[in-house]
Amino acid sequence: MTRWLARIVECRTVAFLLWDYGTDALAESERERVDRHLESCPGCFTRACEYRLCASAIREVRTAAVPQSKSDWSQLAGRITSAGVASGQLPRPAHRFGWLAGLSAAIIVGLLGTCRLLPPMVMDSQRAQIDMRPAVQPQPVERVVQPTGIERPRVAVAWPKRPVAQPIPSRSEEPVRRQPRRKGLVAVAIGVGRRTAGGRDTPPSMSVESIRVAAVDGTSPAPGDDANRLVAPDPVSVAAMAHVTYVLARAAYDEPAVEARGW
Amino acid sequence: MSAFACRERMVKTPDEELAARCRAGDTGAFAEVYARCERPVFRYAYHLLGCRDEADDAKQETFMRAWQSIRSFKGDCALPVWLLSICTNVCRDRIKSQRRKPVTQMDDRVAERCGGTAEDPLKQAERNHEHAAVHAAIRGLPTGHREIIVLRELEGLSYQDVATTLGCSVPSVKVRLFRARRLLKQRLCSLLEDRL
Repeated sequence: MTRWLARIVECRTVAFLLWDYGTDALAESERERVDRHLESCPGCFTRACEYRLCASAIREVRTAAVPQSKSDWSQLAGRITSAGVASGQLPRPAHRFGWLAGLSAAIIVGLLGTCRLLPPMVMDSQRAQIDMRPAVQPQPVERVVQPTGIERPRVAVAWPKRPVAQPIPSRSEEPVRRQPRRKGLVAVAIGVGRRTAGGRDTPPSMSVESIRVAAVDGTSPAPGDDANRLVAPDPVSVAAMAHVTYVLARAAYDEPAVEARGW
Repeated sequence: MSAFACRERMVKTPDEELAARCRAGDTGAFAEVYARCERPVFRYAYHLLGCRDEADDAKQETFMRAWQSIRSFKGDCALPVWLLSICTNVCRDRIKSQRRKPVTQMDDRVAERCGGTAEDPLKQAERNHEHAAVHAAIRGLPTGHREIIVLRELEGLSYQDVATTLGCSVPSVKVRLFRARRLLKQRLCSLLEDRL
């Protein structure tokens, strides 16, 4: 196997030298190497013969007469003189900046076409109106905080999505297609807990099994998506999660509805 | 006159000196350049284009461009090599235009060689046929392969000069030359079968 591979490598190496071998243009060491290989490789020997014949045919063509040129120096000198081109003087193209004019025309036409095809855009004043409309204050869905440390708190903090501004009808009474983008993040933290009813001797208790935090922009975690589920087995972690959610919500809203202080 | 012969003659008047005189507007110096290098440039263009008229035009265009851009000659290569590199670009442009407007060209070499010598007409016809076939095989190569075959095998340039002319490295020249030779061998196989 090794010899077979070595043979292939040697054949490929020698193949690069076969043409020069046929034209006696190799150095002595390379020639000896090719000689040694050709003695043991009939395939390369055949290729060497073909290359030699090709080289001789090319050589005959090389020495064959090439027709004389019809033009001479006088014609070139007359061309240089008539053109009035000095040495080292590159000819100035007739339309050197023609491409610039074409590009400008294309841009103008494109802009005009775009303005014609697009619906009427929202003016800046209208956009300011949209931004100045007071956002609906998010309301906490549920907030249960146990003051004592005996029972585990059940934390469920959620902010509703920021309401999307209503489109302002344009002059042509057509709805505006371009909606203002909601800025900031929507942070949602949902705790999943278990509440046990208390008995005569045992008070009712709540335990948090996990808390799901999704800080996404307008999207909610898919059901069953465990990537967003963070297990929070103890109240400390739950409080930390809630605090993270609070920070994220504060980044998204100016006034978060729920304060997680003290958790 | 081959490129080697050109280089031997240039020992008498260095390229830099000629180029400096050309830059100064000395048409006599450029006439000397023309006399030295006109033949290899025409031969190269003829091998690439396959038509005497086209090769004539390409040669004139090459020298015109060389006159206009003589300032770009830095003397880092021989003057014929620099001219051949210009001729390469000129021929590439012409080959492109030929592709756009395919014109049936008649090889005038066979017609020229058919008369004028006292050789046996049969042998001469056979040789002409072979030469035409070899030329057809060379002309049938892709442009890049054709350029490198003509420069190396017909013009006899060194690997370094071929690399300078084509604007690539020497190892690249070797690899491309190997591929071009292999392709040329395949095309010539039918012609050389009787010799084998």
